[in-house]
Amino acid sequence: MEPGRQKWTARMILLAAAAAGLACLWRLDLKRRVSTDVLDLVPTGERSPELSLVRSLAGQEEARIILLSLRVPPRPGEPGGAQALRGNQAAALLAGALAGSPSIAEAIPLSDSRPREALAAAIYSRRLDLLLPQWLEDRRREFDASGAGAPWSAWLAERTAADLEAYLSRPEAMATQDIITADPLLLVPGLVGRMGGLAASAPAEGRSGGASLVWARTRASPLTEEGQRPVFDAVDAALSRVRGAEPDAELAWTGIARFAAASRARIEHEMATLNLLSLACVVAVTAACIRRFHRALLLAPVVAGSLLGAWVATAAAWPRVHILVFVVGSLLAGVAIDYGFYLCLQPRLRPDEPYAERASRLIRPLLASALTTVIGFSFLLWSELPLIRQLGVFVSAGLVCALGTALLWFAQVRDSYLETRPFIRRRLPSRFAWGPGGARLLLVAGAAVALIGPWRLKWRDDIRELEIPTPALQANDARVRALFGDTGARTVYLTRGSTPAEARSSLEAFLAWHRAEFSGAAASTLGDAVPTEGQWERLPGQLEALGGFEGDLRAALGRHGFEPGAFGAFFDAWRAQLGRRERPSYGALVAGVDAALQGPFSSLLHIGPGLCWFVTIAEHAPGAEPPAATNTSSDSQLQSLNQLFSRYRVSALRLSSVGLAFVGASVFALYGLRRGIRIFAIPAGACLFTFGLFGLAGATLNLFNLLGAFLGVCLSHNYAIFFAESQGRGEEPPPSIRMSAFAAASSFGVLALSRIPVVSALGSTVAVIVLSALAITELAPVASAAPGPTVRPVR
Amino acid sequence: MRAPAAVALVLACLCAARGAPDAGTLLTAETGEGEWRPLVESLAGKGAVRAEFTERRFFPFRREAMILGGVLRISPERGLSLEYTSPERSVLIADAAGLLLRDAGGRTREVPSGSRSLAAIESLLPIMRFDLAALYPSFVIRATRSGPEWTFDFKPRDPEAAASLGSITVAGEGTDVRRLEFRRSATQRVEITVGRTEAGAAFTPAEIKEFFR
Repeated sequence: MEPGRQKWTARMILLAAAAAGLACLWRLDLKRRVSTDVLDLVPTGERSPELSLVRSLAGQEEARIILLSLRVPPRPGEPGGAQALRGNQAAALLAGALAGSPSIAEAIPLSDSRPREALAAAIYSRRLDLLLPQWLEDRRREFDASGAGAPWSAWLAERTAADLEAYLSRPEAMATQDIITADPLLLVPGLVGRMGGLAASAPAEGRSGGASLVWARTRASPLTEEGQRPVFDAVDAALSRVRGAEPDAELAWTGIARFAAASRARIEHEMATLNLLSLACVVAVTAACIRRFHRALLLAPVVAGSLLGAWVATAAAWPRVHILVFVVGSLLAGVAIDYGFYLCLQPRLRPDEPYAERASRLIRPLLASALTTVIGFSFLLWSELPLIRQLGVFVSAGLVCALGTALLWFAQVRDSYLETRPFIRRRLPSRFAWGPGGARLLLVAGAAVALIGPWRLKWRDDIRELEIPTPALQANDARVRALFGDTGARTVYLTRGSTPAEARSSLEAFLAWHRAEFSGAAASTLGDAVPTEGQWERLPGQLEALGGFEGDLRAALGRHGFEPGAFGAFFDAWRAQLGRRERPSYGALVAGVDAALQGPFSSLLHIGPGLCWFVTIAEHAPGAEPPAATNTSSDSQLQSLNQLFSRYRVSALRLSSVGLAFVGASVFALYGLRRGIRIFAIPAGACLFTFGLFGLAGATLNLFNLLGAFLGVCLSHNYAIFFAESQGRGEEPPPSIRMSAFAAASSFGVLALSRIPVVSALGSTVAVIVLSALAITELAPVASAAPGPTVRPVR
Repeated sequence: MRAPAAVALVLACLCAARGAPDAGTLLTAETGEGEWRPLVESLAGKGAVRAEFTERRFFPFRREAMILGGVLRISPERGLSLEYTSPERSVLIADAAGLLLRDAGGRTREVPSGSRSLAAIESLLPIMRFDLAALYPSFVIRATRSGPEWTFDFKPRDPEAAASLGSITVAGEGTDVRRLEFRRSATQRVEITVGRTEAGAAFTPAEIKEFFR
């Protein structure tokens, strides 16, 4: 093709591609596709049930809860009771104002006893359905174990009257005396005793630590914008209203929305800053290394084309892409520019050498380095973790686009050659006495670090490192939750099942495990107020066997000093139960309890399509995790996710190894075994040295260090290829290797400054690997005994 | 007026006058304790107390009262403790943090401060301390005296509390409390008779550990 036509063709293709890319981005509506939800980092089809539960929890009402504590300072000489009353009135005002906001679904001051009373009334009115089945089976087991000679009905009646008499001498009997005549079996007082932990979890009279408490639930998910700003505005407006009555009222509140909003704002800020800084570093490195620094702008389209292609490919491939992909993706600036360096630092063999000819000399190493990296990263597409898959596509697409853009861009500029400054071309001196020996010593020391250090590495994955820590918000959250009774002295468990029956059955297994594992520690659950499906189905048979119970109980009550006639309400209900023809299904029975849950109690039981759970509050600090068969997870969900991330790390390690094997195989195919080994030794050595360095420094690494290592190996692999190519031609290593390494190191060094721990981990790993690889390429020729055989300087 | 009718009326008035209960002196935050101050101060200033007690619980569905016995302890710093020794062992502690129930097996149950379910027991703490300033906002307090014997009646101001708690009476002689009564009705009440009392008692560390928190 003629040079003129070639220019125009390249220009048209570039313009068309850029226009198509921009149009795609506009059509894809990035705002909707880019997510800041940490759960978008986790696969929707995750096989871990714990994570399915966490995902579900995050999408359910439980994640929408906000907790507010309102403090009203005392007036001079004001008694504590009066201050508490004012506080509760202000809290009621706050709850009322919140409930009036369209963004708030429900707001209740904890001094409002209606939710508690509604639950108590629902259980009391259906006590024979809900509580009798388990009570009867427990008594029956005791009867069978006792070997008593008396008939079952008479034994039960005697036991009931004796228990009632003993109960009346307990302190709590005074509080329940009004319901005793309707419940001489002590079904409800027994349940209250077992559920003490749930009652104690709600501060009495709605106050704690001198503050009046309000519980509220938002309409929208806290992970969406509708669940954030409108909610914050509603809280501000409600506080303004409270301050109309109590000008000095102080509000502290917490909710997932606050963390999500803070995280979103910080990551967005991080993304903008890192991308700009990264680009600035690359430009600075380039400008410092070339003679006419303004010509560094020639490289900008390569970076722009690479980023555009990466964004389009990633956003088009997934409906939701976590913003972290784009943050980490800023690294492409430092990688993509490599192709620009290789192309425009390649000197002409003669002044009139056409671009096509010059490029053709580089096409083999360019394609080798780009395609092997792309192949390597493509293996990440098999990862379970969406973030890793998305990063794989982002980097692969970005590199292909960078190479394509570089080839086309430099084909249509008049003079694409960049002359470098002398310092970047100057080789390390090898003639001095310490030269070869010193270089060898350094390489041997590096090898020792690479061999010893990795064994000292510690690995730990923590999902919290995916986000920027917000200590102030976390401290506020801990303070407010402590007021609501959420302290480290308790453990909350969630027992799940696909149906209420399955969840209740699992709860039975969990409670048995808990009794054995934490004997003596109380565990309270609303599940105690619900029979198992089996108990419910066996109830009619149990009642049939107790046909004469009424007479037996009357007699036993009389013997124990009671007035049997006072228990008419119970005997009426008992007869109605015996004569019942229609009984609700088990699902309807549990749904009836669920329907009675209001406000804070609504979290105790969840019935949803395909997923139901019961909450258990145990009076002990977190300890052993329940066995998988109990279908129960503790509230230390983070721990569950961390274990999961460790699993992902192992998976990423496997995929990276396969990817690297393919990269190595490609090199061997292109350069032969001997040369291939020498090429591959540079990235592998740099990677091992980096891990060794981290190991000796006592660093704890995670999944992202591993990803960084993979990227670093692919990058340094490029340097090794160009180093080998130049050696093969008997030339000095081209300055593009140094410039690429410095640009990549500065770009990733910027990432290492990130406040997101995993981004920082990735950045520091890549930066150290590329610098190590550069050091190897610099030291190897000096260390070799041959005094630089050819030294055909490159300009 | 015919004489028989007039006599009957006078007799009726006399009877009514004799039968009318002595309402006693109303003590309020505004008026203070007045002439009752010395007694209140001496009762409040007794410091730590250890006393035996017998409790009779009357229920409308039971022919006879339930009888419980034990030891009552009051610590100005730690609160009130009721150690039941019969018919079964248990300990009930009322302090600033709320109520704590400890059964014979050592299992404990906490009821946070302000819980309505055991309000009667919780109100015992300020009553036994004779901390009238703390009681004025919640109770209407009347005091009566007959020779060395005296009685304080506490009636909750909140109608709901009055219905569930009833009235509380503390009776005594000299500077000793002899009897407490929680009365909802004639058939629903608790009488506590205080026996041998040791004022200014010194609790051992083991006693403090077992009976307070």
